[in-house]
Amino acid sequence: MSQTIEFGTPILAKNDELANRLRARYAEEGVYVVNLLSSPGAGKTTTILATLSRLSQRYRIGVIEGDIASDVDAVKVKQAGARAVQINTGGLCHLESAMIDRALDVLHPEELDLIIIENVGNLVCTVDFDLGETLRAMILSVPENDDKLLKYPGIFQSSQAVVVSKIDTMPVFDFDMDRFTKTMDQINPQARIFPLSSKTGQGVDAWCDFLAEGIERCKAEAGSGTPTAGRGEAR
Amino acid sequence: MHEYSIAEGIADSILPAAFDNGATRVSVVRLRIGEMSDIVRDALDFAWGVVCEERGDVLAGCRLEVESVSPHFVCMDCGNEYDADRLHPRCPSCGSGKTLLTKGRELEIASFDIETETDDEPDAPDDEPDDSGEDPGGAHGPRGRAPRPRPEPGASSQAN
Ligand SMILES: Nc1nc2c(ncn2[C@@H]2O[C@H](COP(=O)(O)OP(=O)(O)OP(=O)(O)O)[C@@H](O)[C@H]2O)c(=O)[nH]1
Ligand SMILES: [Mg+2]
Ligand SMILES: [Zn+2]
Repeated sequence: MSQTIEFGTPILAKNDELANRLRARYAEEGVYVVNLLSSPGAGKTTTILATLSRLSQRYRIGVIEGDIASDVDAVKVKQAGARAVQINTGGLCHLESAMIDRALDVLHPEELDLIIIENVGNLVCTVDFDLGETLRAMILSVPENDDKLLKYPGIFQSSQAVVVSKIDTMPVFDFDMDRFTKTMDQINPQARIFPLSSKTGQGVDAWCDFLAEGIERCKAEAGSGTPTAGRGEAR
Repeated sequence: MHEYSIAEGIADSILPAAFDNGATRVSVVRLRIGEMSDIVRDALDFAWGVVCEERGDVLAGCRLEVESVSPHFVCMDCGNEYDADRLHPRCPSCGSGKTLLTKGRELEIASFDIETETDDEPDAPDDEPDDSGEDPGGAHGPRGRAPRPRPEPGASSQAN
């Protein structure tokens, strides 16, 4: 005998539910969480280091490093003075919220203002996995070229901010910044764009100012339901 | 290859419900997948085949049917609601880029078909007194439930 079961459930219900709980926790504790995506080698770790050097005087920052194997990125970040946790996915091509949940036990978000999650380098697999982040940002590096937008639209469309890294290499690559911003304006007009070079420092301040705005907004809104929270204007 | 995680997610969520309904086999799973998600159909079919093999008889030969959902937007400036292809989300009536995607990212299991062994009520207890001596336990759990050795015609299995 056969029978149809009506189900109507998200495939990633488990991940989505945990991500929603994490999002509520971040909001409650007033910590701004950035899920940073890119292909391998686009400059995630270098951009994080440049960000740390600008913001770590003002804010308490933690970094979650997701990699298939090794802890080289986490070591670099720790040397830069940030609290860091390494997650080895053991072959998995993306981070899931359960991994973040475990990393938070080590990181203690209640003591932090900003958490940057360096996701596994991958332009496709990371996109469908919500980590409860406050901001999804991605990095496209100049050597990868601007045609990536049309080849992998998903990641560009699900990000609220797009960093164009390694702009110091523009002279030797075919990356067309004009075409890039036009295509972005077509496929995701709401995204903020930050061209920068971690080598020369050009553009890094604008990116850090944008993060700082988000951090302040998050602190101001933290735990708006609880009496201990500092409400009202940001300091 | 996050399609493998997706395929495992499908098996993890349907199997408990399938067993609760007395399934001996799941023959087809119907998905609704938004065009804004990054699922590659061939990769998903391949991963699903692997997962089905791992989970044993209950998913043997189970097919995936995919209904794709086109992106649907609401314009935050003029209130226009419209379908658009994924690369052109701007509001066609006022040109605004301030839009909200309301459909097109779903990764959803709509329904699935199961086969049950007998015409018994689906929630009839399965460990009926049985003196056949076969199946010394171990048939339960995630790898699937062994088919009953000898269904007794007409016997409504009242265990208690
Ligand atoms: N010229 C130049 N090189 C850069 C810049 N940013 C990063 N790089 C170089 O790009 C290479 C990769 O940078 P990483 O920061 O390790 O990239 P990643 O995205 O963290 O790499 P994975 O974690 O392996 O995916 C390194 O050799 C960096 O020195 C930049 O702004 N300009
Ligand atoms: Mg890195
Ligand atoms: Zn409009």
